[in-house]
Amino acid sequence: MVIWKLEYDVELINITKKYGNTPVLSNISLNVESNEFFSILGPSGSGKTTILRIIAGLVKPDDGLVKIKGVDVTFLPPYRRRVGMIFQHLALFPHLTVFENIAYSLRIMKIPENEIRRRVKEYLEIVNLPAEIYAGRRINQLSGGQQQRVAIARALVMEPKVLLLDEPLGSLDFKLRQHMMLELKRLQRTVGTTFIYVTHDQEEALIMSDRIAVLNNGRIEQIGSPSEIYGKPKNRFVASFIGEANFINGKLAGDEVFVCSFGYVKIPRVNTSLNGRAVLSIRPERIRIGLSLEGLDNIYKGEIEEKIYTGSYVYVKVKVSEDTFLKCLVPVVDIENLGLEEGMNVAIGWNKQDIIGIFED
Amino acid sequence: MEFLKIKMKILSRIGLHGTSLFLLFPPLVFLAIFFYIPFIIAFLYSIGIIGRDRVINIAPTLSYFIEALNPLYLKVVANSLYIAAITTISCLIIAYPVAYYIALKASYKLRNLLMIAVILPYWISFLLRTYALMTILSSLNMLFTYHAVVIGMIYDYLPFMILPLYVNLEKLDRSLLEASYTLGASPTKTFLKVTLPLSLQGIIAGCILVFVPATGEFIVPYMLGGVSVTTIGTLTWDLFLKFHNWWRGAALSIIYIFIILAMLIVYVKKIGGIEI
Amino acid sequence: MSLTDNLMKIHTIAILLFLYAPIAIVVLSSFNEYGGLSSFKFTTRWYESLLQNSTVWKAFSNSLLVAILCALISVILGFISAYGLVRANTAFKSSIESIFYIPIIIPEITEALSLLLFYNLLSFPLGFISVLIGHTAFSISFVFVVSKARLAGFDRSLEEASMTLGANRLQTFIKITLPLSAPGIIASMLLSFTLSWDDFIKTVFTTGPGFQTIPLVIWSQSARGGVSPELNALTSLMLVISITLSYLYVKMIKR
Repeated sequence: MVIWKLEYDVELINITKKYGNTPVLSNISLNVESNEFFSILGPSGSGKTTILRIIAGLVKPDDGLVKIKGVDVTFLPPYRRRVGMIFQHLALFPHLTVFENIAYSLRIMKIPENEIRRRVKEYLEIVNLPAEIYAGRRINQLSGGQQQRVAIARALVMEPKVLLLDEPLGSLDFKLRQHMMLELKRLQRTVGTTFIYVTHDQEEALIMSDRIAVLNNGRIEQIGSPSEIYGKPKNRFVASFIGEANFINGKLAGDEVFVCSFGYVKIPRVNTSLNGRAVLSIRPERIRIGLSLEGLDNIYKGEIEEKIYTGSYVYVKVKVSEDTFLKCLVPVVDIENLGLEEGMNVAIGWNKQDIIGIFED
Repeated sequence: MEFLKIKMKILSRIGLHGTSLFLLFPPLVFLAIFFYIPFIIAFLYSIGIIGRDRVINIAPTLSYFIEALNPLYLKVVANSLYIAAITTISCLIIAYPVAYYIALKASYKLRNLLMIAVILPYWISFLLRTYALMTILSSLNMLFTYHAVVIGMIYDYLPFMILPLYVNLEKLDRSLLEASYTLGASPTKTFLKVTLPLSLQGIIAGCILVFVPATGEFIVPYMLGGVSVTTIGTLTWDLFLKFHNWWRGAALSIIYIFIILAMLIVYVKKIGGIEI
Repeated sequence: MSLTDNLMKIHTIAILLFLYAPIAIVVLSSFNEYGGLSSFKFTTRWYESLLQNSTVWKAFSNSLLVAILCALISVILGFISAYGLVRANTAFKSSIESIFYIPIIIPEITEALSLLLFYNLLSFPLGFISVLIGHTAFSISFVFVVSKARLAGFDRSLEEASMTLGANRLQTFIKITLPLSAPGIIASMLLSFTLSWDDFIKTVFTTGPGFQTIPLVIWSQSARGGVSPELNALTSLMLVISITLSYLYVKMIKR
């Protein structure tokens, strides 16, 4: 018997789901490893919550298989899968105390009373809600952040095979969200359970995940680590959905040259079937700007059209040709040092490897 | 595994998967046996398929309907419709200013109090309210007259008219009235051109809530009118509980249902959908 | 306030007085030694004679028993049918709903006589059970409508959370759905009880010799002798009970 590799925690094989005649998911296949923080990222309506609910067993796929730790669970009801889930609006039981909410799954499993008390206390500690203060409280007496943590403790206390999170940070304010993102990451590392996290917010995915699956219209566009997704997007959708990107229309002329409205661009060698029209993509922070530049593969002249101030850095929109504008990300200090103003003539440039991709038009 | 998958697919296509629908069986069966089947039986009585001594006749007959459509009975039907109409119009005229005042003119605190006062009689059954009215009418020696019946009908049905009117008027956007004033319309003109048309839905709802049940009313005519007033309701009562003439009674009821259905169809066709 | 406003105000007060005067008079008369409206002397003798009236007591216990049973049966049947329908995924949903709505729209007298004919055909004995069945069939529809409205607003993700935590459908129903639906269920019971308690038309058509409820007593005695002080007392009691039940219902529904 050959043991392939370590068992995947979750496998989705060719999952398809339609609502009526509308396809929601088409041939979704992915594998989630053990002890991984895996995010499913996509715009609203892309089907990401549906994937989660299929893994949980709340929705049955029309076609395809779901395996959890090697076992086919496609037709297993949710209460036999031992999959923890954090719902978008948390779904904490309003008629039960914090203690009873967390103890819920343990009571179902008929675990003895003192063991329940021990475990609930343990997980309250893990999520930083001291039992003495919070165990007896009602849900509506807690703040949003505290409710979050109760929901997490409730799902983790039953030691699930995997934890599913459905956009849990959406309703929190900015500072709390930042804090919770680090909290979740820390929790995942501490507890060691695989997290599958669904969101439309690319910042959350990039900060917390070990790997990300980018979903669009029911199809997976790309799966990879945050740096891969960000630095080497496979297509235009991924490039534009994650982070900011400039898209330049033009033509491929030979292996290493791209022709567009403002001249020639030297590009890294691409072995692509693309012939003729294509789109070149480069991130704003990779474009250098100055009064004059040298030493870069590609340097062009342009005029500053607009400055958009966002706090610690500025988006500078530069007109390089009649119909082409490039967004450059410039730290505030550089704006000040160079005295960049709207209407100024500047030089912008980048090296071949700064380009993140050439995509089809 | 494949068989299970196919079975699930077929069941979900019909929409029968899950325990949910099985929960519906006991209540539906109960309703079928004790509500719907009795109607079918009443119909069978009316066309004579179920005859005297519970004998089943194969041949239906219209004789009972013909009996029920005699001039005397038709007069009774006309009388019922007439009383129902008077009741409805009177209730409308009386109720509208009340609903208008409470919804648009009374202060917020007063409004709640007044609405509770209006709704309270709603909670008291027709029987009790009619009896209460009976006590006054008896001391005024007005019992067992036609007028007593009309007063009683208005008294019992008034809350049914006030409530829908109030609900509709309360939702009226005050700024529409204000806009009308700024455009130069007097309060009277504003009422006629803005308020009244917008409250039409409430008026129609109230009229239906009063007229339809009023046609079949028998508590009020019986208690306050005695033998001097006959309506579809009292006639049905007599046929069933006094004379035990199930067949003519069933025929009369079927005729009555048709009258109601006709009214509802007229409503739907002329005025639009029904909301429960 | 303008003249019209004042007129409307007076009209409103007058109509409210009109609505309440008979009720007030009944209640007052029930405490009047002389029964009527002319001279007044406070007494409770009419209530006392009520308490000694065996017919009234029998009718009272009949009414109570029928109403309680009707409430229990119709709430169980009505609630689970609303629960099942809200969760079902079928094209027949609205048709099944209409099956429950129709009993509410059909005039009571038609329902009542149809049931009578049904019983007559089957030679079914008329009395306690025949009345109970009539009340229950009608109540199920009301309970269904109320339960459906409450369940529609029920947060399904609470049930889903329960299932991901290991509870099967039955456990979820008992631990989560029922407790959170409790106010609606109690309200339905009150509604059903009140409908049965006050019911007259269906009862009078489907009852048999010797079986009376309070409304039947009021009806038969007022039809015979007309107004009487004892009847005033009985009616007053019924008024208080009706109002109390409805008040409790509203409180429950608001929760």
